[in-house]
Amino acid sequence: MYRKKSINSSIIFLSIILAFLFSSCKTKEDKVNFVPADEYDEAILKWSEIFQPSSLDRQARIDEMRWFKEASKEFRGKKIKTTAENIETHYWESRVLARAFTEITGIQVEHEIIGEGDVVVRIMDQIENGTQWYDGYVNDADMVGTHLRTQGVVVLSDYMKNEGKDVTNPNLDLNDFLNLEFGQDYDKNQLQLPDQQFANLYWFRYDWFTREDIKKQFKEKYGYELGVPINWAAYEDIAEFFTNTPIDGKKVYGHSDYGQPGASLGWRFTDAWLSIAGVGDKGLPNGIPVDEWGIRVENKVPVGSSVSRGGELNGPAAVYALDKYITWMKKYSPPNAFELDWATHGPTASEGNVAQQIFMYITWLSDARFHSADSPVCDKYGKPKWRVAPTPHGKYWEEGMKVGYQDAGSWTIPKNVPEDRKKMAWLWAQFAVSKTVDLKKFSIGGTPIRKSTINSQYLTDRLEDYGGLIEFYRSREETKWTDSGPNVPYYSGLSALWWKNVAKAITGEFTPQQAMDNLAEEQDNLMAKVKLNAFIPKLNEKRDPEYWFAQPGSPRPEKKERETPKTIEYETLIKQWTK
Amino acid sequence: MNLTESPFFKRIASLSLRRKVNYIGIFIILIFSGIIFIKVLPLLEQGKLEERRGKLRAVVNSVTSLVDHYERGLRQKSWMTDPKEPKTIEEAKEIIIRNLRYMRYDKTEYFFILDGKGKMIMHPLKPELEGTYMMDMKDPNGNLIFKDMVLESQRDSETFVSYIWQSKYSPIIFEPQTTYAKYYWAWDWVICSGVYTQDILDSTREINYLSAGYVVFTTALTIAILLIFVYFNLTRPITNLLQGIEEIKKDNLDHQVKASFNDELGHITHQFNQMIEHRKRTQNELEELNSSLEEKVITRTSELQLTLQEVQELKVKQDGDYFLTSLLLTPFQTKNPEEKPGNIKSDFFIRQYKQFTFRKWSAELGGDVCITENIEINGREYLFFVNADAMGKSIQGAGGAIIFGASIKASLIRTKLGKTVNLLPEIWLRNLYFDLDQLFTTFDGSMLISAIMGLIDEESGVVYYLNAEHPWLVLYRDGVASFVDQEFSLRKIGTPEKNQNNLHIKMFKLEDGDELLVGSDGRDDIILHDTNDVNNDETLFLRSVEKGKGDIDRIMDSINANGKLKDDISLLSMIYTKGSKKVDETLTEDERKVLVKAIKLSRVNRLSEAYELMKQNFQAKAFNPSVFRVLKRICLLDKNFIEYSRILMSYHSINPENTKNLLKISKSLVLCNLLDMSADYAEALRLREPNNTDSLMHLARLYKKMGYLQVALKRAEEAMRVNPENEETTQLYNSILELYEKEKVNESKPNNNLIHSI
Repeated sequence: MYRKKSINSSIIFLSIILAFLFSSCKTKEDKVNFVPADEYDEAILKWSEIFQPSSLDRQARIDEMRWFKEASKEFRGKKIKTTAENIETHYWESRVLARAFTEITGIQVEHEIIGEGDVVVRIMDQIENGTQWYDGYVNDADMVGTHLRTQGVVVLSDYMKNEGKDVTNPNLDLNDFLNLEFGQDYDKNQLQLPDQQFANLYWFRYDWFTREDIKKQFKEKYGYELGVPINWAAYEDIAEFFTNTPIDGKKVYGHSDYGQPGASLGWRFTDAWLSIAGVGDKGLPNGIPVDEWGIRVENKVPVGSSVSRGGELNGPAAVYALDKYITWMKKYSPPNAFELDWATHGPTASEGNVAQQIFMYITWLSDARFHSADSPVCDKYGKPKWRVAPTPHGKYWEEGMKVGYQDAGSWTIPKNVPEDRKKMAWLWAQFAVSKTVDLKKFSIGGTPIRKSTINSQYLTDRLEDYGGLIEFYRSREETKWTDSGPNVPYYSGLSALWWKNVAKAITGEFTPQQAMDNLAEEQDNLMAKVKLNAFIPKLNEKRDPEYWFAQPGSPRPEKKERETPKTIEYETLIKQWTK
Repeated sequence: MNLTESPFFKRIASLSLRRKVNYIGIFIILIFSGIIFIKVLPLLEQGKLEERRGKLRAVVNSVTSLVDHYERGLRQKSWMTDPKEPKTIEEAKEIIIRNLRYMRYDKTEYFFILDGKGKMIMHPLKPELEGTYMMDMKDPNGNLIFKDMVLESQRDSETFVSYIWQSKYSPIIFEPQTTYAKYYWAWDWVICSGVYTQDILDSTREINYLSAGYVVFTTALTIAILLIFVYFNLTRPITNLLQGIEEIKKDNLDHQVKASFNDELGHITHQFNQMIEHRKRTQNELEELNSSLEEKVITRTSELQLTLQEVQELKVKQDGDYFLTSLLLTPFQTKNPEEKPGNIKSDFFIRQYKQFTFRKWSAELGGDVCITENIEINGREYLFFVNADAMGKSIQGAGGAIIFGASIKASLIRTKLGKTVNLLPEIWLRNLYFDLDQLFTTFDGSMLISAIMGLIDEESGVVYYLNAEHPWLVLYRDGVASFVDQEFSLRKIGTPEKNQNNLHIKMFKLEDGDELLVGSDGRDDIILHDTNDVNNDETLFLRSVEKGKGDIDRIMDSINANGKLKDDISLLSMIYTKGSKKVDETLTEDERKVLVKAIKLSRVNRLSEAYELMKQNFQAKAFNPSVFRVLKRICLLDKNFIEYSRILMSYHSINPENTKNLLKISKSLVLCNLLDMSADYAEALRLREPNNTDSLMHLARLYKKMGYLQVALKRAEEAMRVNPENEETTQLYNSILELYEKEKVNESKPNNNLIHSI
């Protein structure tokens, strides 16, 4: 018996050695059953190879692209022109995806990349004045409040059922979208279809925050643990600490922001900054009845943004938000902050001299500078030393309110586009958001729109490359990050008012209170004037602000005291997310 | 399939040890070489290639970052602030192409650029290719290398492609080359740079040759070492051992095997030599023994004879002791004298297992005792009988038997001397039993006696007996033998710490011609002739009795015919013949009239007249039931309890088997205030029926009255044990207990009889 056992084990041992010796075979790319019949098929075969990684297997990619080829047959050789703002995702769509679409469908697409400000101006011009700028726009869903009131864009949910039925991808799978609601009006009609979205999160240097010597110094000075700040008081302390504490002998900054006057300065505020401070009421997505723009909306009708009309745009919380923005930028940001705008400031944290940034548009994190081995914010393998976490909130913020912004560049087709071009634009839009390409698009631009992308095994294998981003998108918390919502009745005009007043507060021409008073006054005036087709704003009569302060909820009276600073360990936070 | 049965395995198994060892050595070297050539060396090559690839990637990425710089500039419209910056992608591409065309690293290495469709954008060495679609271009091995570069880099953003290409030194020499291709999607450019890898392959090949050389050398060396090792450590010692075995076969015990090393084989060799040494020694001794055998036999025989003589002398002495002992025992084996006219004829047979001769006498010795003797108790004639078996063989058994016999004899003599001892047979038997038991208990378990002893009322034929773990009493009646009673109520006499029920004296009545047989266990302990097994069927004896028709000698013949005795055996037989004393007690017509008259007198309360009348007329027929009843009645009515008791007692002496009478007597004696006597009758009843609640209650009350509270308590306790539900018993017990607790100190001491009761 014993002898037999030992013989068997020697056989097993030998087999293991042999297996080790001959285990150098590699798995090969999945073979597909597809014989190209024409140049379009050739292109499909080629692009099915290139579009990797993908949440679909190769055969499914081929099948989806063949549907596009077939649906586009009658439009071959025709040309359309679309536009999107200047972020990585859209550049890729413009330079790569458009070429692929043309190769497999024969439809010539020019996908022009312009500034977000121009996108807004041009779509409004096309809707209001009928100028044929483009056949389709990737337009931020912040505009949905405008679109539902101007009624100038194609209601996609109707279009898919009726005239656009033949050109609607059966594999579109709307339920797979992360935040379809961003593009919906009050009645769940789909006006815009997300093409890319990115949140605003808190960004910090995980390596510094976990270094024992730094933690010890911080605790000695502030009496609590250095960690991810939960409120602005903690953020402020940490900002002060790092600005005044050289790390490894080098000067660093505890905060980073931008303040160059311009449209993008307005986004810095309209993209949820006030709601983070605590402006607006509880209730997702934007606060009911007062939203983060300080606009009070009753029965879908905006009734004012000044405190005197029941809004909160010039309330103590809004003034506090502006004041902190200016104070921190002046005290804790790198000195060139006032010369930077949204795009120029975007990836600067990768230079390695910033400890934390309260307002990080995660689209920037797809920049190579956040992922390369020679970057000061990455280790020698190019893995991030930084992490993202939920944005800390101001002292007026309460549980149940939105806590951050999500930009959702969404496909929008003006009603006045000719029918066949409408169809081609819709085909192209669907291609740009198809499951075939979405994971590849995410790997380039870091702006997810599909659950299948976020939940893919490919990303599970690479969680640490994204510094907490994937965990964020997989968590239920993600719903607290929303776009501007349907309350803003005239985005282009109203948002333009903001940056001018903020700029005056930065230069000192206005006090923060004066700036917000002025902004609220201008916003109310513009809302009262603007010509719209539905849910037209109708302002409340002015009353004594004290009346409104006395009412429950927003607007809220001033809170004088500073909140107790609170931090949380990053690992604990991630556990809460992945629960 | 079982592995060990495979032909391959069998072939391996039949190889010589030397070969096996050598093969294992070679096998290990092969495995090791396999690992080096298949795994380690390729890894080495891979590592070198990786290093080169890393360099390649770094230089190409530095170009890509330049390209990226222009792209970022374009996106941010840098040309607005710096007029030197390009305004369009085309301009930027132009700048890059112009610069890359002349850029070299490592002196001669260069970059080339393809676009996403495989068109050559720039090739510094072959500008003629620019504008050409390279997708179908193959290397001499038929690989579509440019297609791979273009597609794989678009898919994975970068790729390495290895192929064969013209040497940079000569267009006719082809060498392996690796190209790194990086896809810059914003410009749809595949930026590439290649490197020749021939040198790496050359150096790896060199290492391969070198390794092969080492392997060959190591193998040769290992085999040589193994051969030498196996020769000295296995082959030589084993050959030596085999040779040794051959020598032993030839009976050459002087051969010594030389042990080379101190290992396992050395140990075996050593053991082998020791074994031979031992064998040689044994053989020598044997030879020596053979030569001196006769002399030794003579010496030993004379030694033996001396011893035998001593033994014989001892034996004679011992037999003398035995004989004396047997003489001691003989007087106790007594029979009631046959010449005495009596109703019971007894006979016995004893054969002790130990038989011996001393001088001219032959005798036997053992533990079996048989005694029958006529005695008189309370004026009545009884035959006392006992058959006992003292445990232990020969002298031990005999010792027990002597003491037992002496003790019995003493009791019998005592009884005979005090002829008129006023005792009931039950009480007498009980006292005898307790005396014996007390005596033997002092031996602390080393001397135990099993026995049946009893009294037979010569007149009535009533037998009182007790059985202390002795084979059952046999009754032979009308040609049928049966056990009288099949239970043991008592342990052997002398058993220490007996925890047994109350002494139970059994009773039954013999009829005319009945034969009673008692025998020791030797009657059953026989080795059967049929099966050679020890008999364990006690009914075999019954059949022997029937075969022998009750005659002791014939019974013994029958037992001997069944098997061989293996123990002392004794048989005691008693044959009862009904007495001739019988008087006619039937009443005549006149006597009847007298009786009626007496009844009539008693009814009119002329009791003394009636009594006188009865006394005068029925002196001789006092035990006629009618007379007895009338007399009883008259005495009761007259409250003449003494007379009443006397009548009852006389009646009892004639009909001792009537147990109910005992309680009546005892109760009437209480009325006469003859308490000691009353207690005797009640105790006799208790001996017959230990579980009779009435008698026990009566006894308890009686002793209470007499002031013997301890005994009273004991009787009440027995009554409670028998009848736990009865409230009366409980009450009685409690009342006695209370009294006992109170008067513990000054309790009266009971008489001798009662001591036994306690």
